[in-house]
Amino acid sequence: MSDCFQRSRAIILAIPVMLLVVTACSGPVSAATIDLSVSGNIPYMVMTPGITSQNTSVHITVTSDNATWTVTVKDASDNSKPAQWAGRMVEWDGTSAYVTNPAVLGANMTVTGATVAGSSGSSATLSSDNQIIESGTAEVTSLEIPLTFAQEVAYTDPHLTAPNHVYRIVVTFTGAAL
Amino acid sequence: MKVNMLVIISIIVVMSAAVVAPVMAATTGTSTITGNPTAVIDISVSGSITGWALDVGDNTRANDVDLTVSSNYIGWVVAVKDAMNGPKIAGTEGRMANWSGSAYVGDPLATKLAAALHVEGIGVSGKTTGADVALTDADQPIETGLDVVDAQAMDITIGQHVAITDPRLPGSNVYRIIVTFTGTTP
Repeated sequence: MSDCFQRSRAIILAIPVMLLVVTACSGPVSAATIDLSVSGNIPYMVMTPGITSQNTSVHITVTSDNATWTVTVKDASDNSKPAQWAGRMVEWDGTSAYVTNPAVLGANMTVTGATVAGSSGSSATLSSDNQIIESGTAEVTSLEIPLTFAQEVAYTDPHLTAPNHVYRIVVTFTGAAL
Repeated sequence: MKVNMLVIISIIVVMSAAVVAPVMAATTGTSTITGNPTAVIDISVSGSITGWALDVGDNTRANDVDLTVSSNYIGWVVAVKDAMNGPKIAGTEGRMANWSGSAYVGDPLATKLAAALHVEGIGVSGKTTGADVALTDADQPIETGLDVVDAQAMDITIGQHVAITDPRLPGSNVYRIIVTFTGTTP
């Protein structure tokens, strides 16, 4: 056999070995997975001036095949909400858009995740940045975690009188398996 | 040469796959929250007038009664009326009436001052519009909110006209009236 043929055969034989080496060195290619769902919305949060109003009607459900995971929250300024008011409830026309020159609540909303078996909860004052409200400590399946939405309201936060107008915010939850 | 290229490409493909494979999974969800603070008004009234030396003619007390309002409703209203507390005797609505010290009386003088008491809310620039009303047994606005307010103080001026025909009461009896303030978010 020629030298060329022998060199080619050696290379061909080396391919599976190289693939094994590369695969082993690059670690697992299958990702840890997390699934997160939010139970719903709060269509009319009761708010009273002079106190911090709280609502506990919404929860998240988490499934993670990794013991280390997080859930973060942020105000992503959905529906063309002006970014300078991230974290605060802004006047909404009741149907499709934030109004021009809106009323804006003075205080940012706070979201608190409960501490449950398998996860440690914490509070976050909503902003445009992701902030952790749950830190998972175990693999979990359909773990329901209660949430508390809190909104401080002052007398100087106007009651909206235009028909159907409400204050509105969209809270984005992101689950990550680390 | 072709074999070499094939090997190199294979390695690159495998390594690339390893590099771009996600090492962290993420998923998102949203919750939309809407609401409107309940329209509220809280008011407090401080001060009374006792031993008022009423002279014939117009009498005014501007610094004895203060009103404080907190409201998140633009257009809030504070109204006043004579609720006939005491109870007062019918026919004396809005008027200072004969008080024995423990009750309104019709003996020996079943009387009242002829002119109704005046209550004036002093306006605050940009915050309220004030008004002067002659008191009756029905609510009449003396302050209307132009803005939301938190512990906004307002002066209240009380006025009473006394005619020469308004009799001086005998003994320790005095003319008396209780003014009721009511805040609303119409």
